[in-house]
Amino acid sequence: MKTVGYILQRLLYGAVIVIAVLVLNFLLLRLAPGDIADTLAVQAGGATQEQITEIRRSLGLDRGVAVQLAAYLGQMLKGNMGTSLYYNQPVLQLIQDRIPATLALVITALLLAIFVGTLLGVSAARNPRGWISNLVTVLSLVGFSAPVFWSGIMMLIAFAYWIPLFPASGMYDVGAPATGFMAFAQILHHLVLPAVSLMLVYLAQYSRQARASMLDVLGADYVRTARAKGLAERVVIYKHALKNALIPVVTLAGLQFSQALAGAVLVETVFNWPGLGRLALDAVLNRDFPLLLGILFVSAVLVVIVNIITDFSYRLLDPRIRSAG
Amino acid sequence: MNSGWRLFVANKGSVGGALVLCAIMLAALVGPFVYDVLPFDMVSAPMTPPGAELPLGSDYLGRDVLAGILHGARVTLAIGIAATLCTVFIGLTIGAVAGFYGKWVDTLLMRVTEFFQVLPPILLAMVLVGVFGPSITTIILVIGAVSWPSIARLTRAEFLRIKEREYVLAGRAIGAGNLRIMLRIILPNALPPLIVSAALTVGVAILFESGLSFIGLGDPDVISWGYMIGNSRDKMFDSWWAVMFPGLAIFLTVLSLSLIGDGLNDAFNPKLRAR
Amino acid sequence: MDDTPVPLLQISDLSVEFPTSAGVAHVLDRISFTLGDGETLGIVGESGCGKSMTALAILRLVPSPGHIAGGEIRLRGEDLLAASEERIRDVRGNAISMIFQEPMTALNPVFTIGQQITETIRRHQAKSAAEARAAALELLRAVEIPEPQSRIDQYPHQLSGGMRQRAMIAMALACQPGILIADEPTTALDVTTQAQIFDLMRELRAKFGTAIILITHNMGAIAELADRVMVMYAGRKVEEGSVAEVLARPGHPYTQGLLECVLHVEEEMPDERETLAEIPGMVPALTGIGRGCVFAPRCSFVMRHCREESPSLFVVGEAHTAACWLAVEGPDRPEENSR
Repeated sequence: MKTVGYILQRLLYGAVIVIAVLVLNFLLLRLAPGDIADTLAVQAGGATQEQITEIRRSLGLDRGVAVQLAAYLGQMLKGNMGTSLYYNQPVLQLIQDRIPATLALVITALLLAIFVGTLLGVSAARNPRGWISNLVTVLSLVGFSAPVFWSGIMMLIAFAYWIPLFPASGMYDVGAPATGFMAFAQILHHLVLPAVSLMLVYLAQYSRQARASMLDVLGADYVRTARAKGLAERVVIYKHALKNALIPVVTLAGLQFSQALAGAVLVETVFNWPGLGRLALDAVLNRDFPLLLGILFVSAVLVVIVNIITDFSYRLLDPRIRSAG
Repeated sequence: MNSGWRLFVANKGSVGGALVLCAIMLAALVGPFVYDVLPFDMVSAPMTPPGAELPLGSDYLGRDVLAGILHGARVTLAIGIAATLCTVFIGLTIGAVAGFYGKWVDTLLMRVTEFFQVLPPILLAMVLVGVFGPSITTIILVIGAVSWPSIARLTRAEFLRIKEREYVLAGRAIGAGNLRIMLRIILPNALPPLIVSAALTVGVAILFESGLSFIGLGDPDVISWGYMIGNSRDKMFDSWWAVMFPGLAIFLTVLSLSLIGDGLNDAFNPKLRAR
Repeated sequence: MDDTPVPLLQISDLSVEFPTSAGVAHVLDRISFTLGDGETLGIVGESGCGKSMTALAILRLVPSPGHIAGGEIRLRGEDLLAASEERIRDVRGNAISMIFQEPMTALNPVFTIGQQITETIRRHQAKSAAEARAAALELLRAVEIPEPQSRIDQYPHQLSGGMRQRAMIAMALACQPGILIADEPTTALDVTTQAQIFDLMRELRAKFGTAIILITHNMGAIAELADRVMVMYAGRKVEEGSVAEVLARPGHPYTQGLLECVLHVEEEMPDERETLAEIPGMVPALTGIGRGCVFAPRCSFVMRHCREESPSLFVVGEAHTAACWLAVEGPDRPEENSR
């Protein structure tokens, strides 16, 4: 019963955040330079004053602010995010087309980072003076300090130019099959460099966190008890110790998704990866605010969803949280 | 403070970092006077590789890369520090108020903080720069507006912790007002982790600024390292030096800041030093 | 007369060393003792005297950088120090089990106590999940945890301190070990719960016939539960004998000091002290022990011989030994005593 209450509470809370983002969007939209009606008029090649007034009326710009806000909220929540000024298509459609590419990139990078990072961290904790531990230290410094777009470019130069192993840009080869296994394999081939560039940043943090929490846990009494029961070392480490050590790592993962989306913007630019990040960049350069704000909104929703998911993973891992409610 | 200083010096990494940072700051201050080339001037054939004439080569427009790095150092460091001051100011204020007053003030401010943490930083920055235009001032304020949550949380945690200490009660007993207590009593004791965090924040601000300049949202009249990388991106295969060296500069600067941050951490918390 | 039966557990000259920045610390210095079937041996001494380390050494769980530096550990004649990793893991939790002082940290917080008990059972015995769970339930009943059917699926933090310790005992007895090592099992519990746990241990001992090594600094616990007692100081054994013998006629000044610390205030003190008895001085650093008796710096009966030569164990009564020159020489005349 407590769990149901908790789920409802989190969903409600997420909804509040989403609405807050929309309000922010609305404010920014009004702050944006240039009157929308004027902009539209210019794009249409000029308009009379009457036509401009008509556009204003149809956009609801002649009514009071509160009404506009309500109308805006209503529209956005129904999925109508307006029309892109530049592409002249519904914003929602544009975003929908690009989401899979971004999600593929970000989720791959984060999962890889967590998986490899945890393995490295566990090894490093078991041999605190070994080379893996030193690697983790170096990695965490490099991963934090190297700008993600720069490491992306370095990887491009190294692995797409000097040693041409991977394609230099885009998600598809020109003239490649659109469906089937070959299409999938080819996307994967294009995915490698961008995903690895993005992963490096987070790999640094996860391996460092995993090492620290594993070191903590390995010194714990219950690990000694597990050994005293005659359990194999592998069981002691990967069952008893790891489950406890993962708790801070999962917490970290929850906080990362928002940052990872930001990193994706840069990586997508470097690799010409057709995702939301590239779209956002185009939108900003084209002063296409409906599109830009639509992307901001969708990103926020994604982050809220991921946060709820990691919250639950956290509760699954640690029964003490469940009891506390 | 002596023992702290000794601990800092004992950490070879942080000493190295401090040295590198000093070198960079020196280059920023003095470099442009010593190396008398302007970064936007076209001084040689486009895409000349590094050599005797141009130590770091030239980009696709024939502009000197080394000049760009030296001039860009000033901009990058200045923006990094200014943005950090902005971030710390906002974050400290919000965190202190939340931690000190507690209850509904705390809850409200924490909700606001979480709200800001939901929005991907670069996206929000892009939107704000799009709305307000790409000038140095805007960039500094935007970075500040986006990066304050972690400092706020840290400050809040420290204030919550210190609030219950005896010397705070003693302060109240002699009739000190809230503001005075916050500023004169709690804040000085909360400084150590904040200083460490500030060092790292400068690094984050530099990364942020270079990211924005890279995608073309920086101030176009000013040369910065991110700007250089973004500019030469299309010609990266033929003039890799034009993208590698500015990136290396960013990397070294942020690296030295992290090492210094680590060293400061050790100096302030000898007990927590995990080896 | 037949050959004497092979004792259940025989420790000979066991030594454990820890390298430290100040030199090698001799945490255990040639400890020898025997444990028979169904016997309860108490090991008593101050913190740091090496009693816990003895227990860990038996199971080869000495934490690095410490290591076993010499001696023999024989389980029914089998050399445990020469055994393979595989073999010693079969012994742990099975032939020899151990329970620890602080049950909250000794139990894994993210698994239910049922899971932790069945895990032990299934590690050492070929039982199905259902059989193991039924066995676990029986064990919980045996240790008198109320409502075992609901408790079995609870997590350690949902149980009280006393129940957690009972759960640990259940886990340790899961495979009916011949030897149970209890390292300060009640120190973290309140006095009432302590008494309950001792009662429980007595019952279980009668029921399962388990031999117990009870490690404690609490002489009262020894008096309650143990048949024989071994006194340790600074990593060495200084006295051993039956509980009745040692408590009535302590053969070593240190043991005497320990007993005086717990004697009732009503009993007449030799010189009518009114303050709490204590043994003056501190346990010496384990790196720099000189050539005399290790207790000499704190001993009220110290003689010149004590400072020059370390006494070996002398017989002072029936199956009762003590490492003290007083046993063979008698006290010096008062003028010869030096401090």
